[in-house]
Amino acid sequence: MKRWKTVGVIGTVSAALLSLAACGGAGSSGSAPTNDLTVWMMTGGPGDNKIIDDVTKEFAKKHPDVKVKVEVQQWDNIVTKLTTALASDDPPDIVEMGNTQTPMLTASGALAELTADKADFESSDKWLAGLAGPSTFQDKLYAAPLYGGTKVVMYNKKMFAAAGIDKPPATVDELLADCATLQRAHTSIPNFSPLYMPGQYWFAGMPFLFGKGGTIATESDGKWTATMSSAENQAGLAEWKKFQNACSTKSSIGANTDSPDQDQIFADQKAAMIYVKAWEAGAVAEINPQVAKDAGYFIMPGYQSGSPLPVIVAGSTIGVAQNSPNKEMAVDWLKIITGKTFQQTMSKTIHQLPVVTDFLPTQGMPEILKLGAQAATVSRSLPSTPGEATLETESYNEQFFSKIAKGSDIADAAQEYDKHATEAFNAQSGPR
Amino acid sequence: MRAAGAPGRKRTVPNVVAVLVSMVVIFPVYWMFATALKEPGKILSATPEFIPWPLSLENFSTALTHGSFLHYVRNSLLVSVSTVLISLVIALGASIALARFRFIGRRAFLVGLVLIQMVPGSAMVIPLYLMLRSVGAIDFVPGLVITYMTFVLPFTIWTLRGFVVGIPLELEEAAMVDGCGRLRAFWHIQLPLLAPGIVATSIFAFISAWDDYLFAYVFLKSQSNYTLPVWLVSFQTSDGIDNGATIAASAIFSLPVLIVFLLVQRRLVGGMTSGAVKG
Amino acid sequence: MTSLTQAPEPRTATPPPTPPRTGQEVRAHRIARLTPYGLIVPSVIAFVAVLGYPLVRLAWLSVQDFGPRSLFTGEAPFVGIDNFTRVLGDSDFWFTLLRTLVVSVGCVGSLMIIGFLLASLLRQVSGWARVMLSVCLVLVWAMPMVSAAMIWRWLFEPQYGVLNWVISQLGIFGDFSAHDWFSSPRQALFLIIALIVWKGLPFVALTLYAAMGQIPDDLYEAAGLDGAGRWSMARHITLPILGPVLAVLVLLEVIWSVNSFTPFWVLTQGGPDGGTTTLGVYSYLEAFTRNDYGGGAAIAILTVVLLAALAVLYVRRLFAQGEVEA
Repeated sequence: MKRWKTVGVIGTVSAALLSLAACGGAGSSGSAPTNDLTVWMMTGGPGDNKIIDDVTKEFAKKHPDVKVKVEVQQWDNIVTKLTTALASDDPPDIVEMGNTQTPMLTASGALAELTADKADFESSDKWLAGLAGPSTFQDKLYAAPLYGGTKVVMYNKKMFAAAGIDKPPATVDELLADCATLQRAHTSIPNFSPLYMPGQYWFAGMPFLFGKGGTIATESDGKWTATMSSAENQAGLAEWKKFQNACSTKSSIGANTDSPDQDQIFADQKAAMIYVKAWEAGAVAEINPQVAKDAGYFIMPGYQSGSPLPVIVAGSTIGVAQNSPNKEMAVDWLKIITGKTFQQTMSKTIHQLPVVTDFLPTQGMPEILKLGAQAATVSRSLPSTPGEATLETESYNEQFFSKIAKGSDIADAAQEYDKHATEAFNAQSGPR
Repeated sequence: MRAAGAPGRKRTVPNVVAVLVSMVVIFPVYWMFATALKEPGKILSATPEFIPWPLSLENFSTALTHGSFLHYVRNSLLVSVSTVLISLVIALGASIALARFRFIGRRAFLVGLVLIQMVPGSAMVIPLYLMLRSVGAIDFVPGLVITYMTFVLPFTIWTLRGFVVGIPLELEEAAMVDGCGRLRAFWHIQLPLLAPGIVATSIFAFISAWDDYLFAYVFLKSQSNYTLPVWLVSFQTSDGIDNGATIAASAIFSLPVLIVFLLVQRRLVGGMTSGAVKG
Repeated sequence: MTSLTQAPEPRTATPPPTPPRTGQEVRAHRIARLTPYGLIVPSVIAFVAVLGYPLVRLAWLSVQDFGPRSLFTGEAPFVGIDNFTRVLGDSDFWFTLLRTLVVSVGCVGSLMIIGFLLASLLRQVSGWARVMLSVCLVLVWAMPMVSAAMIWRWLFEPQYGVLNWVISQLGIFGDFSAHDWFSSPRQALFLIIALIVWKGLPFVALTLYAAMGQIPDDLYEAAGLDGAGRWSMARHITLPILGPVLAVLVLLEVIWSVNSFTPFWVLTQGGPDGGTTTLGVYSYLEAFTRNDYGGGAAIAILTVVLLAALAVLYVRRLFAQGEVEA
């Protein structure tokens, strides 16, 4: 008798405890401002570095009583996590988002409108197009750009010298010729790639399309249409295939930059060139400092000399939660982090591009960043629709470019892309 | 345990086969630990080194000092152990009831248990989120425990029921004739016989809770509440992937489960045999 | 789990036949009668709350147009069976279904055959070898799937993968050092199935081993005296007796392989070009990349229907064996 009572009691008490705890955790649907600010920043950005304390210190001057808590998030499944967090009763007040994820969150109603405050953001009229675009939805501002990043080509000077090449290529044709020269000069290295280019690396593939004048999609009256089958794009895709097959080892067709790790390949001197983001120079240095020292950089050349391929500006934006009780304070914090002072510190420390090109410090910038900023002046943004985030999360572009590099029929593949992408772009992009 | 077939038969060939099979089966696990013990710069190489030399603990120290490791261990342990205990209590009651007693809806209950195990995990995120949000249990450890019970309870109840069914009623009744009350009979006779089942399902419950990343990541908001799997994924950081630290983190993450398994494995295997006594 | 091999007739418990006399005995009698309900009540509450609500909500979701916006605005228009017709009308769904069946058959078939062989091996070896092999199996079982998938990707990575190197050394298949398994759907599926089987073997092998231990040796001895060979004994003694256990294992493994997600996602993300997308991945993609939670729920329901249809055979068998009383 005692025992079944025990079992029953344990069960009931557990259930009761759980529900009590649950009730205890239910926050008030706070409309009254609180005295703390929760900020979610992404790994790899300024929030992941101690420079973020500068922002808080500056913020404390105007709001001395407010406690600011910065938490770093992972990229995996971040859209779901942000959506569920922002939809709860006590969301984080400020969130950083990848620029392709911003439209999705804006369209759902998760972010607060900032149009009225736009003029107060330093030099907001000169924001990088690739970041300002996604921050705006139906002509209203819902986020502020945080930082940008582009890519340049990193090359092994010693290998170039050994092959008799004295300067970086100025056009795509020259690049292809250099690839052939480098290949001939290094036949002893197994699986050698003159320019190691994983077939899935669509950030490198898209520029080939942009260079021919192609665009990913067009929009009219809120309806999107993917235009991958356009003549320009198909020509660009053909160039991409030619380039990838000629310059990179066969086993890279289906790979992405991390498997195998392309910085490892460059550091192991299995490639003479790779297409890198700013931080990858450091990654190479960690594995093989000598190779990093021998490295030089150049902007990916275009079809004609003097006009490099337009790049995609990746990066992050930062916004305020619609359900946040501290919107005004949050906007103040945002103004600091997008202001010139902090942006300069950010460029110098973590080598990301500032949101306004003018903010870039004139002295003491590593070459890779200077070139990156230069490359960013000719850029295209990705379609500013929630569907772009969908394509990214399902790795659709990666698989598409890899397919092309493998040799699939370009016209057919492009048509399929258009069908899939148009559907994705138009889902959930309706009016608020 | 005698071998099937004629006893005293030569065992050399099976033994050799067993050694080879063991080596093949364990190789990926071995590789994980061997790689974690290599020096960071030498992790990836075209010609693989099968024995790590020189041994280096650097990957482990990088992993352990990344983020608030100990704090996450505490959270993971808290959630996993709670899941096991609460699920066991509930499941024991339910499985005995299902196996021994007749009541309305018993068949529906049983069929429901099987059906529930068929739902793909990712589909439950939003429904669970909506449920937890309406009671305000998001970002709270109990929210996760409730979530884990969703996939642990059905399997546990179903398995334990099978074990209970396997215990002959004669044992209980014999004990009762001897003067035990029903529940003393339970305590002294049935529970020991259920032990292997309880051990097996507890391990299943523990691993399910310990390994879950998706629900922990989506539901937990404050960093201080994160569990270990979130920590494991966080090595894909700003500066690319630190392969050495990631592998070391995987090894560390696997260790508690491996240790628990090693401790109970004899009980488990031996017990699974005695789990159904024929009398 | 071994107990599932037997099918003793469950009898309803009845209190002792003597009529209650004293007050104390009346109370004892009443408590004994209430015992099952005392046991069930907490479980039923937990069951309904924890499992019932989300399931009902899932079904309700599948008939709504529910996306991220709905989380904020609360608007989720009722769309009837639209989500279902849309999914069923998408040719991708049917290819995914076909692929899932292939993967499932591959996984479950391999698991049962190799598991059976491993279990037999465990029965035949000396004590030390048995311990060694079962410890290895247990270690594999205990390793988290996330880590296992990461290691698997490493082992087969182009240019740096260890197993590629080993295969190249063997010389039979040529130079595999730069081979990219994951860019071919068939080869990628092969590797994924290998991973699932590897991780699932311990459970199957050890369960079968334990079940085999219950078969009385005299059966084998008698058959041996009658002149039966090893194969014959396996076919006529071992397999029939293991029948119920095998049925349960097959059911579980089918469910787990159909819904399997982590190995696919870590290794190929369902690619290349959707070539390794099975139902588990498809369900995830719908819910989390398209953020169409209603559609994701519809796919989940369809998956359950599919699995339930397969399970009907098992449930019927359960009933036939009398494990569940009418």
